[in-house]
Amino acid sequence: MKRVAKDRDRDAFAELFEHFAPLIRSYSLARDPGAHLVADELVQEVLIRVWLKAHTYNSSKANVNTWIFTLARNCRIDYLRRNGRYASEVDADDLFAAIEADEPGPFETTQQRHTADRIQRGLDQLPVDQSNVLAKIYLEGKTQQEAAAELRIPLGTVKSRVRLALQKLEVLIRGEEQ
Amino acid sequence: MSNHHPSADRLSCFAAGSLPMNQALCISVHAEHCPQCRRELQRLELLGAELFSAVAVQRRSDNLKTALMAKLDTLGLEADTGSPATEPKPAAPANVPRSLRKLLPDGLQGVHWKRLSPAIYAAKLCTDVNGAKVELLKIKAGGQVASHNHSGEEITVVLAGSFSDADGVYRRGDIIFRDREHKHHRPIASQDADCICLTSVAAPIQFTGFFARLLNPLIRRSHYSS
Ligand SMILES: [Zn+2]
Repeated sequence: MKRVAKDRDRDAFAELFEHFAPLIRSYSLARDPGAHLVADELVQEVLIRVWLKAHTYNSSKANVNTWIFTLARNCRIDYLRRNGRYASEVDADDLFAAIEADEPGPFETTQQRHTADRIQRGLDQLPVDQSNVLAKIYLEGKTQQEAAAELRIPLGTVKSRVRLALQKLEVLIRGEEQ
Repeated sequence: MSNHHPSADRLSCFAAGSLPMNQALCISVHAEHCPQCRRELQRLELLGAELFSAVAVQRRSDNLKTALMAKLDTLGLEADTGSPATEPKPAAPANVPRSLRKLLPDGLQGVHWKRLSPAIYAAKLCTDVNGAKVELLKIKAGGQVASHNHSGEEITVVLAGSFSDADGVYRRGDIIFRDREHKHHRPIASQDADCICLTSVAAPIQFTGFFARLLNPLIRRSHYSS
């Protein structure tokens, strides 16, 4: 990633492509199965952003995975907005700018890495009904209502499964209230 | 104070990018004021990244790679000259949350308020495709909003000033969720300043007071009155 940012290294960019293009593609197909053109478009859009914004990537702030996930998420929201799913002039970047503005200290950076590792290990052990709900919401981009309808479970069950999963993965700092 | 946050499951939908825009706007405005929720959201993005990285992969076409690598040539120059891909930012009105700047290019001062009653003003911002209306609401200092039922969820984020209802006092950045079960809350702006809120209403609200019923025909286009 650094080589892409600093030296505009094409070989390094090609490596990024090899790794991330299939992921972005699958991410897009998770929401729109069969829409291969849309998926290719998203791959291009995200990776062009990676190329153009590489110098703004801050490795102490987010790992490459997270950075590219947020780019893919934002590009997908903007794509859906252009195609009428959201009626608003607001860009995804505007929505998430506040989260990105925080500069983490070295402690937070280390903590973040531990959290990511723990989540990665925890995901394998998550009960299927919980990981299914997470996949609907994160990968397929479904609202909670849509997830409930597709899984044929009440909305409250979707919410509680998400919360249980977050608890198991120890994602939240404040724990669970509400 | 600190219990005026979105629930964890709603924050995770926001981080996932799957929250309807009307709700996402409200969460975003809250997050701008709330370091605690920003931290949670960063962690929820980590979860998203792990799910994203673990997604089952399908074969890609190599044509795409060739096409993209060729495209880099046309982008290369731009990329070296700073950040030309992002359009020049308009001078940002200081008191407007980042996610509302496109909707409020002239800031809160430039809002065209529509008078609903002597104490209540509203300005429509946008309507989501799901029918939810996003509005600004101004309650004059000491003014009160009529009792109303919600046929759909109402989300309120305080942008300026403060207001209170039977459940508590809400200040800048606080976010309040009200659904059908919460009836008859009667928000009152504090005496010292006008209160400006961002509100998102999922479906039309019915006013329940007698006086409000009289007002209803006048306020069809908005959800609030006094
Ligand atoms: Zn909060």
